[in-house]
Amino acid sequence: MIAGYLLRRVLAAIPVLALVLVLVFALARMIPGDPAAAMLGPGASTTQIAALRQTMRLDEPLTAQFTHYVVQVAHGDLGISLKTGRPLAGALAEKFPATIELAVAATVLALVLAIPAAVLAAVRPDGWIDNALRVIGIAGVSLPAFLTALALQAVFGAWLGWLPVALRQSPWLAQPPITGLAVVDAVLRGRLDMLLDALAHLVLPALVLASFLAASFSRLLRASLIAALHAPHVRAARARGLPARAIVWRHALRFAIVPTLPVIGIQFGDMLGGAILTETVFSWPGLGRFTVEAIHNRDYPAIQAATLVFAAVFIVVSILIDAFALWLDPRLRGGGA
Amino acid sequence: MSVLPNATARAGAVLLALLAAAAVLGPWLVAPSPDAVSVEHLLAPPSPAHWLGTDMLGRDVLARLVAGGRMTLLVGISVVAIAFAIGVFAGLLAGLVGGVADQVIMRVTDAMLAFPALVLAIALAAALGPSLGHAMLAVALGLAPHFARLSRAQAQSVAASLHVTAARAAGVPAHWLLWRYYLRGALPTLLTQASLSLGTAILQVAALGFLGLGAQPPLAEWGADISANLECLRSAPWVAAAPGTAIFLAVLAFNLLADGLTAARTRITARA
Repeated sequence: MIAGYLLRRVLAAIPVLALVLVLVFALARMIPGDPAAAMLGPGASTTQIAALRQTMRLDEPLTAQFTHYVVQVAHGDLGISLKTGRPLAGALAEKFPATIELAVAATVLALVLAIPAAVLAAVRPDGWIDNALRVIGIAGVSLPAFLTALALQAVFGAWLGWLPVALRQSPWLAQPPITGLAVVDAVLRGRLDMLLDALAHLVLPALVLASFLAASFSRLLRASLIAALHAPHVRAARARGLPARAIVWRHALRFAIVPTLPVIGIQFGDMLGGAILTETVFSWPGLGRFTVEAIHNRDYPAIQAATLVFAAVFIVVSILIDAFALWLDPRLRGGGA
Repeated sequence: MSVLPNATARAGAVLLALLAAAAVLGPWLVAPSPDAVSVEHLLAPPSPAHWLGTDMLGRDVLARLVAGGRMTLLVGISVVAIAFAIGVFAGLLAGLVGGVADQVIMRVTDAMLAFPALVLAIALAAALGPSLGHAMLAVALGLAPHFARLSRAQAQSVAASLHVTAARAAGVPAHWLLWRYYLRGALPTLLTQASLSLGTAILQVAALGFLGLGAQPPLAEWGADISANLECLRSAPWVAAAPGTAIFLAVLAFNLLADGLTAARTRITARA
């Protein structure tokens, strides 16, 4: 059942992905003037520009250029970096785990903060805890990610000196990656010092991203939980005399989370955007920092490739979240089947 | 429900009014010019002469803060106005014309929403070239799909209603139908979205400025002013803290307003 739904969901994502490809393709063609000349900068010779025009197939009709681009992407070829001359697919694959590790850590941290906050708020709606959390929540979504990042860096790094403020691990502990996820690699190698080092590097950037997600998610979950606490099965559980704690955590929460999931998907996208800023501030060697470096180098193929990867990650995550919602709430499975 | 939803909206409105007043009246109250460079006063700490100190070029931080505030409010409002115009036009077109136009517009909307918002804005701004105008356009294009979706849903639900069929049969002119039934019905929802979008727009334009893709120096803009002074963050934190706090307060004002409006609206629908 879930497999069938997932298949339909993946099929539905194909036209979206196709249009995403059109938009990403269009990016390099939106550059004012001759894109090839703009990419190479003022110092380029006419032969260099002509060569790039040929590689980009700029003299062919747009449809032919686009077909070529799609075929290329379908083969896993994301183009060549203008800066390094290396294939971008490989470069992005190297950066990818760092961003995933950061995003997953931030999501876990956000859930750990947001779920108890939502429960506390929903148990007594409009009580002082609820009102205080509402204000904290609104303040939380109003903080620019780069500002939170700079502030945490200044306080915990420069001022208190408790935590490292750049990179993913201390250089002297560097080892060739196994999975590319520093925390997982440390566990696989059984090295406690590496694990602690990786976590120490992870905590501040993850906290920056988590603060935004936790703030918005806790507000949503609160509203959904208030509704769930009045649902028939919860009232029945109350009538049977189950302890309040069990009612909230076991009966209400499970169903309250479902309607918030699609929004978590959207917020995951916001978080990827925030990762660009956070990675820049913390010199975190992930996709975000890669994108910003590409922008400073005017490396348009790299910008295109990174944008495409960001969109692809976002699409995949929203499909996964839909599947998770289905698993949590069997009632949703009946719908379109 | 307590009075807090309205209190939130009120708090947002008051904060917004203060910021707007500072932005409008500031240039008359703050003596130094935001662009006046002073070599003798580089990175001066806050003092009676310079209330918030001076930056790396000896410019008065308070003066730049006020100038940046005008810029930020103007930019935020223009960005949302552009997003509103494009989105509502496309959404109404999709909802009213239907058929192929609807399919095309909504698929493009889906594709644009498939990008993380800031990623789309960064990619567009990078392609168009770094400037404040391009950053504004990029952010507006990223926000427009939300308005398109809302106004399309509204147009569809209104189009199906009996009184619109009746009005149409009575020969009410199309532009009057559009204003009286479609747009006015959708306005409360769209305005809440606009308030929320203003916060997002300010955050994103500041983020683009911070990344060097927005306002270019020496233009006073909060995001760009923070990134321009990153090197002296440790020795002179006030230079970045002032515009940073200002961004937070401006976004907070619009978010408080949006939260209050949403709460008030859900209360009305719950009663009806």
